[in-house]
Amino acid sequence: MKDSRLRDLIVLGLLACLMFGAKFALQNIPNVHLGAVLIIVATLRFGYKALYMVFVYIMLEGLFFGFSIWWVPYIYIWAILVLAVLPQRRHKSWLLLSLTGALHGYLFGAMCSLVTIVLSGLKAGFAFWIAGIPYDLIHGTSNLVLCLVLLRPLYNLAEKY
Amino acid sequence: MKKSRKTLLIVLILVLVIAAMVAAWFYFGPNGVAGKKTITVEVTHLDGTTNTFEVKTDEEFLGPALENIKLISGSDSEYGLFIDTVDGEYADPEKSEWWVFTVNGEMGNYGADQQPIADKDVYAFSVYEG
Repeated sequence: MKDSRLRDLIVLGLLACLMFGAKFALQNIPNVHLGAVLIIVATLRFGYKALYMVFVYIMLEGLFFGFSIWWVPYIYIWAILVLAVLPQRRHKSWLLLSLTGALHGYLFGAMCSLVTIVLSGLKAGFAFWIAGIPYDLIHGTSNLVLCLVLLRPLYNLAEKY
Repeated sequence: MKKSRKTLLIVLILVLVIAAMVAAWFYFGPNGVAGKKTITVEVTHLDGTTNTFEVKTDEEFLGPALENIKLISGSDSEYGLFIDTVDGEYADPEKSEWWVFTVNGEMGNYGADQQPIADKDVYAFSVYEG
Protein backbone atom coordinates (compact mmCIF):
# COMPACT_ATOMS: atom_id res chain seq x y z
CA MET A 1 0.00 0.00 0.00
CA LYS A 2 2.76 2.37 1.01
CA ASP A 3 4.63 1.43 -2.17
CA SER A 4 1.69 2.29 -4.41
CA ARG A 5 1.20 5.66 -2.68
CA LEU A 6 4.89 6.43 -3.09
CA ARG A 7 4.76 5.34 -6.72
CA ASP A 8 1.73 7.60 -7.35
CA LEU A 9 3.56 10.56 -5.81
CA ILE A 10 6.63 9.94 -7.97
CA VAL A 11 4.56 9.59 -11.15
CA LEU A 12 2.59 12.77 -10.32
CA GLY A 13 5.86 14.66 -9.72
CA LEU A 14 7.19 13.43 -13.05
CA LEU A 15 3.93 14.42 -14.78
CA ALA A 16 4.30 17.95 -13.33
CA CYS A 17 7.84 18.10 -14.73
CA LEU A 18 6.55 16.81 -18.08
CA MET A 19 3.86 19.52 -18.10
CA PHE A 20 6.50 22.16 -17.35
CA GLY A 21 8.92 20.77 -19.97
CA ALA A 22 6.17 20.46 -22.61
CA LYS A 23 5.31 24.13 -22.08
CA PHE A 24 8.94 25.00 -22.90
CA ALA A 25 8.97 22.70 -25.92
CA LEU A 26 5.83 24.36 -27.32
CA GLN A 27 6.67 27.94 -26.32
CA ASN A 28 7.13 29.02 -29.96
CA ILE A 29 3.44 28.31 -30.56
CA PRO A 30 1.75 30.85 -28.26
CA ASN A 31 -0.97 29.41 -26.02
CA VAL A 32 -0.69 25.86 -27.28
CA HIS A 33 0.42 23.52 -24.50
CA LEU A 34 -0.32 20.16 -22.95
CA GLY A 35 -1.35 21.47 -19.53
CA ALA A 36 -5.05 20.61 -19.79
CA VAL A 37 -4.42 17.22 -21.43
CA LEU A 38 -1.97 16.10 -18.74
CA ILE A 39 -4.12 17.36 -15.87
CA ILE A 40 -7.21 15.60 -17.24
CA VAL A 41 -5.27 12.34 -17.69
CA ALA A 42 -3.76 12.64 -14.18
CA THR A 43 -7.20 13.34 -12.66
CA LEU A 44 -8.77 10.35 -14.43
CA ARG A 45 -5.93 8.10 -13.30
CA PHE A 46 -5.17 9.45 -9.80
CA GLY A 47 -8.35 11.31 -8.77
CA TYR A 48 -7.95 14.19 -6.31
CA LYS A 49 -4.23 13.34 -6.03
CA ALA A 50 -3.80 15.18 -9.35
CA LEU A 51 -3.82 18.28 -7.15
CA TYR A 52 -0.33 17.24 -5.97
CA MET A 53 0.81 17.44 -9.60
CA VAL A 54 -0.81 20.86 -9.95
CA PHE A 55 0.96 22.02 -6.78
CA VAL A 56 4.38 20.87 -8.04
CA TYR A 57 3.75 22.49 -11.44
CA ILE A 58 2.77 25.90 -10.04
CA MET A 59 5.75 25.83 -7.68
CA LEU A 60 8.04 25.12 -10.65
CA GLU A 61 6.48 28.07 -12.51
CA GLY A 62 7.05 30.33 -9.51
CA LEU A 63 10.61 29.15 -8.87
CA PHE A 64 11.65 29.57 -12.50
CA PHE A 65 9.75 32.76 -13.41
CA GLY A 66 9.17 34.45 -10.05
CA PHE A 67 6.24 34.53 -7.64
CA SER A 68 4.72 37.64 -9.20
CA ILE A 69 1.12 38.79 -9.75
CA TRP A 70 0.73 36.76 -12.96
CA TRP A 71 1.43 33.63 -10.90
CA VAL A 72 -1.41 34.12 -8.39
CA PRO A 73 -4.24 32.81 -10.66
CA TYR A 74 -2.28 29.58 -11.14
CA ILE A 75 -3.06 28.77 -7.49
CA TYR A 76 -6.72 28.14 -8.37
CA ILE A 77 -6.94 27.95 -12.15
CA TRP A 78 -5.54 24.42 -12.62
CA ALA A 79 -7.29 23.12 -9.51
CA ILE A 80 -10.61 24.17 -11.12
CA LEU A 81 -9.88 21.81 -14.03
CA VAL A 82 -9.17 18.95 -11.62
CA LEU A 83 -12.48 19.62 -9.84
CA ALA A 84 -14.34 19.76 -13.18
CA VAL A 85 -12.92 16.39 -14.26
CA LEU A 86 -13.33 14.52 -10.95
CA PRO A 87 -17.10 13.86 -11.39
CA GLN A 88 -16.41 12.47 -14.88
CA ARG A 89 -14.03 9.74 -13.68
CA ARG A 90 -16.60 6.96 -13.43
CA HIS A 91 -18.42 7.41 -16.73
CA LYS A 92 -15.73 8.63 -19.08
CA SER A 93 -16.75 10.31 -22.32
CA TRP A 94 -13.70 11.42 -24.29
CA LEU A 95 -15.81 14.01 -26.11
CA LEU A 96 -17.19 15.45 -22.87
CA LEU A 97 -13.72 15.50 -21.31
CA SER A 98 -12.32 17.23 -24.42
CA LEU A 99 -15.09 19.81 -24.28
CA THR A 100 -14.29 20.39 -20.59
CA GLY A 101 -10.62 20.98 -21.52
CA ALA A 102 -11.69 23.35 -24.30
CA LEU A 103 -14.02 25.31 -22.00
CA HIS A 104 -11.20 25.67 -19.48
CA GLY A 105 -8.98 27.13 -22.23
CA TYR A 106 -11.66 29.54 -23.48
CA LEU A 107 -12.34 30.77 -19.94
CA PHE A 108 -8.66 30.89 -18.90
CA GLY A 109 -8.36 34.68 -19.28
CA ALA A 110 -11.71 35.28 -17.56
CA MET A 111 -10.57 33.16 -14.60
CA CYS A 112 -7.18 34.95 -14.49
CA SER A 113 -8.93 38.33 -14.53
CA LEU A 114 -10.47 37.60 -11.09
CA VAL A 115 -7.12 38.51 -9.52
CA THR A 116 -6.99 41.77 -11.52
CA ILE A 117 -10.56 42.55 -10.39
CA VAL A 118 -9.56 42.07 -6.74
CA LEU A 119 -6.34 44.09 -7.08
CA SER A 120 -7.35 46.84 -9.53
CA GLY A 121 -11.14 46.83 -9.83
CA LEU A 122 -13.83 45.57 -12.19
CA LYS A 123 -12.92 47.90 -15.07
CA ALA A 124 -9.27 46.79 -15.09
CA GLY A 125 -10.29 43.13 -14.82
CA PHE A 126 -12.68 43.50 -17.75
CA ALA A 127 -10.00 45.23 -19.85
CA PHE A 128 -7.54 42.44 -18.95
CA TRP A 129 -10.03 39.80 -20.12
CA ILE A 130 -10.84 41.67 -23.36
CA ALA A 131 -7.13 42.10 -24.22
CA GLY A 132 -6.59 38.35 -23.87
CA ILE A 133 -9.59 37.14 -25.90
CA PRO A 134 -7.66 36.26 -29.12
CA TYR A 135 -5.22 34.19 -27.04
CA ASP A 136 -8.06 32.52 -25.11
CA LEU A 137 -9.68 31.53 -28.42
CA ILE A 138 -6.41 29.91 -29.54
CA HIS A 139 -6.02 28.28 -26.11
CA GLY A 140 -9.53 26.77 -26.06
CA THR A 141 -9.43 25.56 -29.65
CA SER A 142 -5.96 24.01 -29.27
CA ASN A 143 -7.08 22.33 -26.03
CA LEU A 144 -10.05 20.83 -27.87
CA VAL A 145 -7.88 19.42 -30.66
CA LEU A 146 -5.12 18.16 -28.32
CA CYS A 147 -7.65 16.55 -25.96
CA LEU A 148 -9.53 14.83 -28.81
CA VAL A 149 -6.26 13.43 -30.19
CA LEU A 150 -4.26 12.67 -27.03
CA LEU A 151 -6.60 11.99 -24.09
CA ARG A 152 -7.49 8.39 -24.85
CA PRO A 153 -3.99 7.13 -25.82
CA LEU A 154 -2.34 8.92 -22.88
CA TYR A 155 -4.95 7.61 -20.45
CA ASN A 156 -4.48 4.05 -21.77
CA LEU A 157 -0.73 4.50 -21.23
CA ALA A 158 -1.26 5.87 -17.72
CA GLU A 159 -3.53 2.92 -16.84
CA LYS A 160 -0.61 0.56 -17.33
CA TYR A 161 1.27 2.11 -14.39
CA MET B 1 -28.59 13.50 -16.80
CA LYS B 2 -27.93 11.27 -19.82
CA LYS B 3 -24.42 11.48 -21.25
CA SER B 4 -25.68 12.66 -24.66
CA ARG B 5 -27.71 15.44 -23.03
CA LYS B 6 -24.72 16.45 -20.92
CA THR B 7 -22.53 16.57 -24.05
CA LEU B 8 -25.15 18.63 -25.91
CA LEU B 9 -25.38 21.02 -22.96
CA ILE B 10 -21.63 21.58 -22.77
CA VAL B 11 -21.43 22.02 -26.59
CA LEU B 12 -24.15 24.66 -26.28
CA ILE B 13 -22.29 26.39 -23.44
CA LEU B 14 -19.08 26.28 -25.50
CA VAL B 15 -20.75 27.84 -28.55
CA LEU B 16 -22.32 30.57 -26.39
CA VAL B 17 -18.98 31.29 -24.67
CA ILE B 18 -17.15 31.56 -28.02
CA ALA B 19 -19.90 33.78 -29.48
CA ALA B 20 -19.82 36.04 -26.40
CA MET B 21 -16.02 36.29 -26.56
CA VAL B 22 -15.97 37.18 -30.26
CA ALA B 23 -18.75 39.75 -29.78
CA ALA B 24 -16.97 41.27 -26.74
CA TRP B 25 -13.70 41.49 -28.69
CA PHE B 26 -15.33 43.31 -31.62
CA TYR B 27 -17.40 45.59 -29.37
CA PHE B 28 -14.91 46.40 -26.60
CA GLY B 29 -11.54 45.39 -28.14
CA PRO B 30 -8.85 47.84 -29.20
CA ASN B 31 -9.48 49.72 -32.46
CA GLY B 32 -6.60 51.38 -34.25
CA VAL B 33 -7.00 54.61 -36.20
CA ALA B 34 -5.47 55.02 -39.66
CA GLY B 35 -3.44 58.07 -40.63
CA LYS B 36 -0.31 59.95 -39.59
CA LYS B 37 0.32 60.44 -35.88
CA THR B 38 3.05 61.99 -33.79
CA ILE B 39 3.60 60.44 -30.39
CA THR B 40 6.06 61.04 -27.56
CA VAL B 41 7.92 58.15 -25.99
CA GLU B 42 9.77 58.67 -22.69
CA VAL B 43 12.15 55.94 -21.56
CA THR B 44 13.43 55.86 -17.98
CA HIS B 45 16.45 53.59 -17.66
CA LEU B 46 17.55 51.55 -14.67
CA ASP B 47 20.18 54.17 -13.76
CA GLY B 48 17.45 56.84 -13.64
CA THR B 49 18.36 58.63 -16.88
CA THR B 50 15.48 59.51 -19.19
CA ASN B 51 15.47 59.70 -22.99
CA THR B 52 12.57 61.25 -24.88
CA PHE B 53 11.70 60.43 -28.49
CA GLU B 54 9.22 62.03 -30.85
CA VAL B 55 7.91 59.32 -33.19
CA LYS B 56 6.01 59.95 -36.43
CA THR B 57 4.13 56.90 -37.64
CA ASP B 58 1.29 55.59 -39.78
CA GLU B 59 0.96 52.44 -37.67
CA GLU B 60 -2.26 51.92 -35.72
CA PHE B 61 -0.72 50.15 -32.73
CA LEU B 62 2.19 51.00 -30.45
CA GLY B 63 4.18 47.75 -30.82
CA PRO B 64 4.77 47.90 -34.60
CA ALA B 65 5.34 51.70 -34.48
CA LEU B 66 8.22 51.31 -32.01
CA GLU B 67 9.56 48.05 -33.47
CA ASN B 68 9.87 49.72 -36.89
CA ILE B 69 12.30 52.29 -35.49
CA LYS B 70 13.99 49.62 -33.33
CA LEU B 71 13.17 51.43 -30.09
CA ILE B 72 11.74 48.23 -28.59
CA SER B 73 12.29 44.53 -29.18
CA GLY B 74 11.18 41.29 -27.59
CA SER B 75 9.63 37.95 -28.32
CA ASP B 76 6.18 36.54 -29.04
CA SER B 77 4.47 35.28 -25.93
CA GLU B 78 1.08 33.81 -25.09
CA TYR B 79 -0.12 37.39 -24.50
CA GLY B 80 1.43 38.95 -27.61
CA LEU B 81 4.70 40.86 -27.88
CA PHE B 82 6.77 40.48 -24.71
CA ILE B 83 9.06 43.54 -24.60
CA ASP B 84 12.44 42.80 -23.08
CA THR B 85 14.54 45.64 -24.54
CA VAL B 86 13.70 49.36 -24.75
CA ASP B 87 16.14 51.98 -26.04
CA GLY B 88 18.95 49.40 -25.89
CA GLU B 89 18.37 48.40 -22.24
CA TYR B 90 17.51 44.77 -21.51
CA ALA B 91 15.21 44.00 -18.57
CA ASP B 92 16.14 40.59 -17.23
CA PRO B 93 13.07 38.50 -16.21
CA GLU B 94 15.38 36.22 -14.22
CA LYS B 95 16.12 39.23 -12.00
CA SER B 96 12.36 40.00 -11.94
CA GLU B 97 12.83 43.08 -14.15
CA TRP B 98 10.00 43.93 -16.54
CA TRP B 99 9.42 46.82 -18.91
CA VAL B 100 6.06 48.49 -18.27
CA PHE B 101 4.51 51.53 -19.91
CA THR B 102 1.88 54.12 -19.14
CA VAL B 103 -0.44 55.78 -21.64
CA ASN B 104 -0.85 59.52 -21.08
CA GLY B 105 0.12 59.02 -17.44
CA GLU B 106 -2.15 56.04 -16.75
CA MET B 107 -1.48 52.30 -16.76
CA GLY B 108 -2.40 50.81 -20.14
CA ASN B 109 -5.00 48.07 -20.54
CA TYR B 110 -3.25 46.36 -23.42
CA GLY B 111 0.09 44.93 -24.43
CA ALA B 112 2.18 47.04 -26.82
CA ASP B 113 0.99 45.30 -29.99
CA GLN B 114 -2.68 45.81 -29.00
CA GLN B 115 -2.32 49.36 -27.69
CA PRO B 116 -4.04 51.71 -30.19
CA ILE B 117 -2.21 54.98 -30.71
CA ALA B 118 -3.69 58.42 -31.17
CA ASP B 119 -2.02 61.65 -32.27
CA LYS B 120 -0.12 63.41 -29.43
CA ASP B 121 -0.22 60.38 -27.12
CA VAL B 122 2.57 60.18 -24.53
CA TYR B 123 3.97 56.76 -23.63
CA ALA B 124 6.35 56.40 -20.69
CA PHE B 125 8.44 53.22 -20.38
CA SER B 126 10.17 52.24 -17.15
CA VAL B 127 11.52 49.07 -15.56
CA TYR B 128 9.36 47.47 -12.88
CA GLU B 129 11.29 45.36 -10.42
CA GLY B 130 9.53 42.66 -8.45
